[in-house]
Amino acid sequence: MLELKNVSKTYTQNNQQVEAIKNLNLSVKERELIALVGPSGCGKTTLLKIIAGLISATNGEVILDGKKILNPGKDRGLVFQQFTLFPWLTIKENISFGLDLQNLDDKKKTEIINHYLGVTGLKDFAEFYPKNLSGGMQQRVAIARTLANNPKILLMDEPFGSLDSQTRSQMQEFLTKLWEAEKHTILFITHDVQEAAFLADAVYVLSKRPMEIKNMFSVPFARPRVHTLKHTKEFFEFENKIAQELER
Amino acid sequence: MRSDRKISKVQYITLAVFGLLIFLLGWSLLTYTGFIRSFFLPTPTKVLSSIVSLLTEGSLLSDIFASVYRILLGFLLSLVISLPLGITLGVSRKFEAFTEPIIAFIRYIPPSAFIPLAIIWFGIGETEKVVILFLGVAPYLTLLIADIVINTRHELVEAALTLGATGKDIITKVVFPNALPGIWDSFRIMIGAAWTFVIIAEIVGASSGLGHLMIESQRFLRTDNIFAAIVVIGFLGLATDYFFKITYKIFFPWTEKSHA
Amino acid sequence: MKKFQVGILVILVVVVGFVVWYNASQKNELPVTSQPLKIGLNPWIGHGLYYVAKEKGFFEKKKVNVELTNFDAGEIGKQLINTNKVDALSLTPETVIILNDAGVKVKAVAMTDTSEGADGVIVSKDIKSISDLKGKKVAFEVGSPSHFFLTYLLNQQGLTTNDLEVVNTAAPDAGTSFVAGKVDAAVTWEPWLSKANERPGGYLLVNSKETPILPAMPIFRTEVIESRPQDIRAMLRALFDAREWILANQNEAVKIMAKNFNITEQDVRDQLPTFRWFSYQENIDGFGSGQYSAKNLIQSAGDLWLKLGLSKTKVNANDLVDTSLLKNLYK
Repeated sequence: MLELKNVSKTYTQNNQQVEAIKNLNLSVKERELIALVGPSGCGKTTLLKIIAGLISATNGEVILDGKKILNPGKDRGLVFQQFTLFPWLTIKENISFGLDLQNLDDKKKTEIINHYLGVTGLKDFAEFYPKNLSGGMQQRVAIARTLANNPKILLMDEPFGSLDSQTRSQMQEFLTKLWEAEKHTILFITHDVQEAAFLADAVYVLSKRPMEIKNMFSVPFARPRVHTLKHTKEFFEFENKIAQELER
Repeated sequence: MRSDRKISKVQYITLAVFGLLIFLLGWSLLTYTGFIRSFFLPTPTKVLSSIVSLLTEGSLLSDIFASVYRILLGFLLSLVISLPLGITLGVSRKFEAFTEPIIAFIRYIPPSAFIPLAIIWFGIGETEKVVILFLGVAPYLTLLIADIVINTRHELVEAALTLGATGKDIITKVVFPNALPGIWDSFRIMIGAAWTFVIIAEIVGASSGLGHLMIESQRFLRTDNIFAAIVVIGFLGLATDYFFKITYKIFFPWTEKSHA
Repeated sequence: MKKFQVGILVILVVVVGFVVWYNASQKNELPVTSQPLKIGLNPWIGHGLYYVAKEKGFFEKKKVNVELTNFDAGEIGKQLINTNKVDALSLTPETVIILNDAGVKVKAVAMTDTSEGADGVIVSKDIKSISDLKGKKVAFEVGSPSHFFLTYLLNQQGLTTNDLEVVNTAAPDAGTSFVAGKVDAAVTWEPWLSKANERPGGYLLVNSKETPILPAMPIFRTEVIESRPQDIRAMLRALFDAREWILANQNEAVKIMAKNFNITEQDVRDQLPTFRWFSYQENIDGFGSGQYSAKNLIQSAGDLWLKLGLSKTKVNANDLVDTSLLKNLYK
């Protein structure tokens, strides 16, 4: 449902032309969870922003369900690495933000909000402000806020990157469980190979700048996946394969 | 962030009262002992009795009303212009390029420099005072607001865009509510400045107001009245400051500054 | 957000309410609906006459709407009449000359009071007469009544201010300057005159009791005199009535003046002996002729100002006073 055709991005920095992305082609099917791994600074965030419509590609096209992408919209939800909850709104109001922009009737809205409050385990925190929540809780709200809006695809830019490793593990479990229950289409960026292998159906390895797709690995592990999977020999070997490709 | 930021309310009040007492002690020592002549520095009790007599027999109350009226009217007018102007400036770079030089130019001219011109145009009535206040407050307030708006974290705007918000929504639902605490704080700062401008304008030419009271007292050599007026101004300024600080915490419990 | 919206609404209602209320309350002070006669007053104690007249309803009784505007610095007063913000200033003879020279057509119409001890020259102990001021540092405000006072006295000794080292200072500051020893003499008002001895050896050399050349006069723009003589006459009648009332009700008058000048009643009483309000009869006798008449003093001021190069034209005081208003006052 999402197609990137020969997408490239060049920008000017210090009076020099920098080619960030070179002829990238990618296909994401419905209900797939795809991970993109790449070294830091290779242009992953730029790519995600192009897909989201926040910046435009220099060449090539991004096509969603047959239509060309030119501007941002609710059909492509984006979860950032830094906490981007609206600090002046309560948790409940944050989740409701996208819904309030549409003309839904109140009953439907409450239904959706309550569902996601339950799914994120934050029912007791509905009237709290973001400043009172931990990092993990805030990211859960960010994810809930985006999903409540029913986007066609969920884009995630290293969403667990600023969390400590324990919370990160918990969040990964939370995301897989959520995906297995609701089967959203997700495009997930990370520099953490283990995270990519654990979460995704397929892992794409990206090169350094100018960014291209080096290789693609189909993830062989069955679902549902639990964190104990990470300690198995097979997982470790698969992880290494990807890591080596990354370093090549 | 200072590590002793969190102290109990009781501690805060005790320390504040203590500080005030030390100040009063110093003042009393200088005056009651006759070290400084009462003509130059009246005693605290004399100043207090002057305030009382000015209230009961003089025009203190109507002078307070006059000065406060000018500040409120001037500030309201400045607000009406500065708020939309500042937000537009912060949001649109083209608009910023268009208007910034003029605003900066006016801002750097001290409002007291406009007083002679304003008196020729408007006399020494309310209009002149309000104009001076406006010229002093509006440019500064506009730029303060613009600055706050410019510093909106772009991630917030991007998040809103990916949730389906469009141009108008971004300003009303993201930029404005996010900027509100900062704007409220700008009000607090600029009302302090407004006090300065109004007093100066009243000292130069007025029939009423606290500044006029001071210059009239100078004419009749009533230093105690001058001090009374200064103390009253100080208290009114303090009250205004506290008003803004308290309402900040009530209106914006979601900010880091408010201990909700 | 809800708290904010409610709170802001409350604040706005209170603020706008206050602004509207205050605005309306200021307008309430004008009971008579006719166009006001605007008089500019500086903080001279003799102007208590106007405050009493206003507060005790004398203007109202004579059906004239008088609006009093206070100003402090002489410069501001001159600007006010120059830009038509006031119709008249209540000031002394040199003001008529200064305004006339600046192109503002004015005439004095009466004398409300005169300074008899309220103004004076304080000097250091080595100065024994006005002539001794030659070459000395003297502080006074240029273009003010003090300036005229000094110039008049110097002229009697064949001297001018050019023979002194002039330090241009406002009257209150002139007194302070003298006591601090920064100048040898100062021309100023009470209470500085009594404070002269705060500087060792300092004393009051001469005051306006001996030379009463500083009458306060309503100085009107001629176009106002031509267009509204009946209003000006009504105002003068009200002022003379107020004077009678003050003589009969001194305690209450003192209270009113203390309130308007923001000084104590004792301060007012202390200053009462330093000036004298003129009656209608004294105006008839002494406004248009006599050594200390308005006409004579304006002529002296005009001649002295021309001599000192402070004005450009020779004046004839007949053109600068209007005796007709007084003459027909009670017809």
